[in-house]
Amino acid sequence: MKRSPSTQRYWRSLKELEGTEEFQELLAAEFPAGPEEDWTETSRRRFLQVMGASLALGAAASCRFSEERLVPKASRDADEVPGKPTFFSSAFELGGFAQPVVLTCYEGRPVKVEGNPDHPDSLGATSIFAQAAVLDLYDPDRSREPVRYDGGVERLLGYEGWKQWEAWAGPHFDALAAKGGEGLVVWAPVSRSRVLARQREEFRRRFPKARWLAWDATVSTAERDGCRMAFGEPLRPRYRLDKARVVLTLADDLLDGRPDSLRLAREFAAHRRPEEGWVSRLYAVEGGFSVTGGNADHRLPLRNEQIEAFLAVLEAKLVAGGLEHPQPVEVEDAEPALHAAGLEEFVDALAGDLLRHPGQCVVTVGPQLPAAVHARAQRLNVLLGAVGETVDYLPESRELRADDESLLAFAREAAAGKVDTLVVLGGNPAYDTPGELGFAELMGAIANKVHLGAYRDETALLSDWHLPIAHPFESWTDGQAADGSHVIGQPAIDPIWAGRTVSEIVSVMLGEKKSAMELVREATGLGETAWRKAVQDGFVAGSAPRPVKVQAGRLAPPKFEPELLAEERDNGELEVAFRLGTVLDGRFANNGWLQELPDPITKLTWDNAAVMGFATAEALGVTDFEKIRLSLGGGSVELPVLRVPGVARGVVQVELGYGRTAAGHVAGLNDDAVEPVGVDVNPLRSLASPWFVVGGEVTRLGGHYPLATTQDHHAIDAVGYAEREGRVPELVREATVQEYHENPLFAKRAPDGWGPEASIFEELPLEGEYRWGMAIDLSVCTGCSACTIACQAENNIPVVGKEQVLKGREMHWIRMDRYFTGDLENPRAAHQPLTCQQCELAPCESVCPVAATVHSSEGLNDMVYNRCIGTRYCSNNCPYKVRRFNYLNFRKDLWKKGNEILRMVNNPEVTVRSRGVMEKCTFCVQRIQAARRDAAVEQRNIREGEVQTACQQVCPTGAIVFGDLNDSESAVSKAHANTRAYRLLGELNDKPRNRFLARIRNPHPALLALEEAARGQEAVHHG
Amino acid sequence: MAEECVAPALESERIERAEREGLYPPPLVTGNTDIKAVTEIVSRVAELPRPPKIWYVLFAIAVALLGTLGTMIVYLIATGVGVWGNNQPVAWGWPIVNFVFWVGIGHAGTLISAILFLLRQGWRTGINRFAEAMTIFAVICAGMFPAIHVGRIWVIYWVFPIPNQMAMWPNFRSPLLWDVFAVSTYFSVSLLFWYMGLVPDLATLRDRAVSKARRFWYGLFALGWNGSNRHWHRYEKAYLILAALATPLVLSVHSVVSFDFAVAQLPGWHTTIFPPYFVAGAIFSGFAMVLSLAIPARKVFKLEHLITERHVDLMCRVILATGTMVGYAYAMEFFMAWYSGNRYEGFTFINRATGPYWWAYLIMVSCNVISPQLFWSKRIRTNMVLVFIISIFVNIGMWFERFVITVTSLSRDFLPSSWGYFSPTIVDVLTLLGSFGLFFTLFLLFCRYLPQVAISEVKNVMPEAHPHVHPEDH
Repeated sequence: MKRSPSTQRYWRSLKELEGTEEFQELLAAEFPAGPEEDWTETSRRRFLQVMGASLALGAAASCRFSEERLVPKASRDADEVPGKPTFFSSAFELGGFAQPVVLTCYEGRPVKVEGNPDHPDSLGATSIFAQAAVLDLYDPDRSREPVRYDGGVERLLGYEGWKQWEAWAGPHFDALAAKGGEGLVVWAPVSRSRVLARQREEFRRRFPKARWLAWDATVSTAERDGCRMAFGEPLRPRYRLDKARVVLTLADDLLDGRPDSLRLAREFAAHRRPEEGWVSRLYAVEGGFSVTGGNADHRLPLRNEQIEAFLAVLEAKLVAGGLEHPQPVEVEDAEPALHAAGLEEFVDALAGDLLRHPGQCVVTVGPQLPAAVHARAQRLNVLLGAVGETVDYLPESRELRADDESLLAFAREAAAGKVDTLVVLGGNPAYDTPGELGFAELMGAIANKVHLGAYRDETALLSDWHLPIAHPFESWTDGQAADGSHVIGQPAIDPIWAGRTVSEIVSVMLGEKKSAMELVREATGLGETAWRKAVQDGFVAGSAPRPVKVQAGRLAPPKFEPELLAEERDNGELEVAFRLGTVLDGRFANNGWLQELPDPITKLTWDNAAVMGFATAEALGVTDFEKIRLSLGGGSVELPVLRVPGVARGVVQVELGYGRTAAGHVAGLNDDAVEPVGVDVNPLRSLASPWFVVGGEVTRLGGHYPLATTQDHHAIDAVGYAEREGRVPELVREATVQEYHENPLFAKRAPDGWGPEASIFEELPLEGEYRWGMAIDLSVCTGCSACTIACQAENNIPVVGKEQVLKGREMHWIRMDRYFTGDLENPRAAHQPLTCQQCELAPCESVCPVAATVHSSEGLNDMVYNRCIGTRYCSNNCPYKVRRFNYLNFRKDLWKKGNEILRMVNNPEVTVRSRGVMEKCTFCVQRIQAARRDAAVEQRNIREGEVQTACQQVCPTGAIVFGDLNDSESAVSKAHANTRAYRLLGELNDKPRNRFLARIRNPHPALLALEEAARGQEAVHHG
Repeated sequence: MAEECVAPALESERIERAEREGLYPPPLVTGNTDIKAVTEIVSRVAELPRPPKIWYVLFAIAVALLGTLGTMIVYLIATGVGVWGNNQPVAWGWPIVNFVFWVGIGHAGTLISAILFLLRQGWRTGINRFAEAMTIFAVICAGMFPAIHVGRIWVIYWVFPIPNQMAMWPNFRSPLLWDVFAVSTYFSVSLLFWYMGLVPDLATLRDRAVSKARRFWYGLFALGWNGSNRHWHRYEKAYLILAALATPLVLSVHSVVSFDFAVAQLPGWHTTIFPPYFVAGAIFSGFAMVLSLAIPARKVFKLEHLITERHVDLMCRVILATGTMVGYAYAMEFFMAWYSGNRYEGFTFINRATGPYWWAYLIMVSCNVISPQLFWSKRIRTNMVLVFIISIFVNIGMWFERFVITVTSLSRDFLPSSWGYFSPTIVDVLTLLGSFGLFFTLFLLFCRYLPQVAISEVKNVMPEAHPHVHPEDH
């Protein structure tokens, strides 16, 4: 069932304007450089172009929908079939980038988010946040009406509250305008929306003395500033991994932590399958352990503060190796640093690889590192010939996020009582700003505070007015995707509560009162046909800007810091690194799906912790689940410890977004005695170094604080540890590229079709029309866990909460197994998504006393929920332990008063299970059935690719393949025929329908030899 | 009068033979107790106006625990099986451990009454009533657990092959279904066997009754027994047939219970040694429980002359034999795990002994393998206090055996990613204690109102039953 917006019934395009090429060209030319077009440099030709376009668009803009409101589903349209989903392309902004998505709607309500298959940033894949966004839409804790706070008294105003607010706002802002906006501060979201950019300009015209401060706790401007240092203009790099043979990431979670990680992961995957040609090599240098680090062929744990020094010695090494450099580099000076840190081999291998592949390599830097590192790395990319090949540069907004000076200036003014009106349009500054700013206290000194937000959160509680924001899926929005294209987000549902958009609020402040749709449409400046097409597509085709040409300039000479590279950090000078996890900066804190989604590496749910390496923990004398006090500068927080292998020595990593006190009933709500989930670490942050700071001190507090991890629920003993080490190579089969070429059948064992497959009894033939099967390519699975949450959204999988996760009762149908192997301080990680393997000889089926789990003729291991009595025998007999049991009524929340809205998120195609029932993956049987119905109507067979499982659809790298094994041409048949294909636990002869494709690594031969020597030595040592 | 009736005993022939061959065993009834005295000793307990004080104390405790059990079950049904410690991967926890434990205990009764009857073991008569009652009550406790441990107890009847409009049958391939049949059959046959054996003794109590109510109730259940030759004739035949029917059940029920594990492919469960190993273990635990009950009971109710030291001695020997078999099975499991060369199998057993549950394994081995070895000494076998203590040890050990098999195997199976750990909740603990409450409530009621020793059968093995053997006594 391919879900494409082109199948939409609603947005049938008009043909009139199509085909006039000049018109299209004019459109494409209109906003070539994004919304921050610098008009002062407009040429005469350009001026005329724009004039022409304006005329054309002015005419087109007059064709307008007569009625803008969405049609309520009280009566059915003539051609609407109940139960048939409709699809709408939409978008929502995250960290300043719009995520192009397609919403699947049943009877007028969005229930599932997919990536926009037509947009190059997505191609159908989505991040975990996009998947979970739909749960936010139906969050019962969302605020439902305007609220007035009067001297600590909360007054819910109902829908009429908007009128009251407008009555207040109109004269208030008029008065402010009369004063030139003095004392007015707008706290805006970081956004690349053209609507907002225009409104900002108008705002500045109306309120010249006001401040417009854009803030987003997740956004760093270091990348842009680094480019400005290196190239003289604000740019942002766009990496192209499909051409990169060698990739070096510096504390950069390239595959999971960037706005365009979906595309990057896909491009990375393009060269990790050895059958398809060359295999890239990924080097990761990082302090924490990221998804990218887990996929690296070589990973070097270094503290963030050391990375600049590392880059300096690498650069010197490259110059020594013959790299042309615009500046003289004292190559010899680098040697002592290298030697001191014991990095010679690593840097030698890396430099050699980079030099061997000019134009086919790239160096990437995490946005959390300082601008200087970015500058150096981006210049290196130029020198390595990467520009135009593996990286290009897109124009970047000059005012992305308010700079530190204006934030501090605002703080000073507010403290001095010079701020009269604060309008918070985005974020949750009372919670998510660095402690240094003391935002919450500042609010006390401001006379009028207006807060627009989805929740009555920490900021709302300190405001005078709280206005509910419309969810992106309820509103007209626009923005820029990571590739720079202009994205349009249409609503798929009328605002459920009385929400309005940011643009509508600003519009009121501007005294114009335009609707969001008008504003978006104006911003696109498209004619009727093009507008309709853009809305249907979800973005304006061809609106991505062209890359900017850059040249390597001069930078400050590199500093070789042998001491820094070699130095260990002791207690008191630990590096505290801030990280964004599954709830980001706390905006998704009240999203149960994301709270319960295990972190891909730590497997931690429902908490943040002081994550540190084993050596660090040993040096500090602390261990897992022990509470510590982490002090830094003036602030301190109390956190439990979680040891994770491979975190650099001396680094303590903490996640943002926890410890919310007014998030909601999921993440913490003081007003209703809901304990906060995790600990707020914002008090430790500062504006100057928001992402890592040296100088952390750990004090042991003792006590036991259980952390709910979904793997290694309990600290493992020596016996178990040894056994796990022994088993992993058999479970996650791996080979190097060289080993693969020597023996492409390396992953095969006797039961994988390379030996006799006799059964001791006569098997029932499976004679269905289709033989559904799956294949998961471990070589390209990054472990990002989007599949887990896509499955949760598709299959109505309940959230069980921390207590139940601690007991081992999480319900995820597809889980991401993560194994570490090798050295505790620098291990290799392997990921393996595990779902029901749909065994042909399913061990679960024969043991069920009531035949509640049975086999279909097409090879599915069906689960009949309403037959299940809950003996749990099937789970005991499942060697993969992929069955999930409803130990309690995990859907009680649906029946709580006030939570009715939460029921709307459930997929009507899938049963909502109650307590006492076993459940598990069904290969999205509801999607198979939907495709079967369509095929039956059209009197044909289900086509290849017509059925996509939810996990497959969301996977950015295409690691999961699903289809009909009867069709020898299907992708899944080919995957099963791949020489790397193997059956997990095949020796049990359960004949799983899923096969894993063994993982391929591409280590540098010299480093591999070193690694093996070290392992050999260790073996001797232990022997 | 019933008490004067002596059944034409099958034992008589054996005793005759033994006498002839000079192998006459020591007497099974001591203290110059004659036939009338046997009736008197046994019936007196049921006829006392008030039972001993200790009975009241124990009964109060048992009923309190029974109440706890009821509360726990109501809480469980209202909330869900999540009130226990079960999780993924350990989807079966204490309820199944308790089930196997109680079923195991329920083995001694029928073994004593049926198999020892067929084997002409005269000493069984002193303890069989007791043991059979224990069996019934243990099986009641056992049967309760699988019923309450399912997720949706309100549709538990789906496990029975009841014709329905959906034409939906249970899955006959599932060992759990075999369990349903095996346990329910065992329970019905045991109950029948026990009740049938009770009929002549109920008639005795009826005849001795002084109140109308007692006469009515005992009379009702005595089914009009009058001790006629014809009655005895039919009784003996039926008893023999039921014994023959019950004998295979003794072996089958625990074999089937073991299939719950052996048929699964989980390492630590999937093994062919389980049926004999489970049966031996069941007899082992059953006899231990009989001793745990009989030793105090003979003291409290003054039955020392009927349940003699010899009886205890013989039961200890059975415990020694079966305990050694169980020990052999433990060793053989390890050998097979190693010999199979299967990584998963091998690890399961190393993990049992040295993994996170090493303490459970240690308790199991010391209680089940080491402690019964003390029974090689006759001094210990006849020391009632020591025997009682060891029998308690065996009971503890056998509970832990089921815990080790069920929980440790599940907690660490094939994929290390899904390894877990099981911790019981307070509800688990109270439910187990509550099941003892149920057991002891029933047992204490039995002690109070029914003949604890099979009067007529004991008389059969007394010398007086064989006038031509001991003419001088007649």
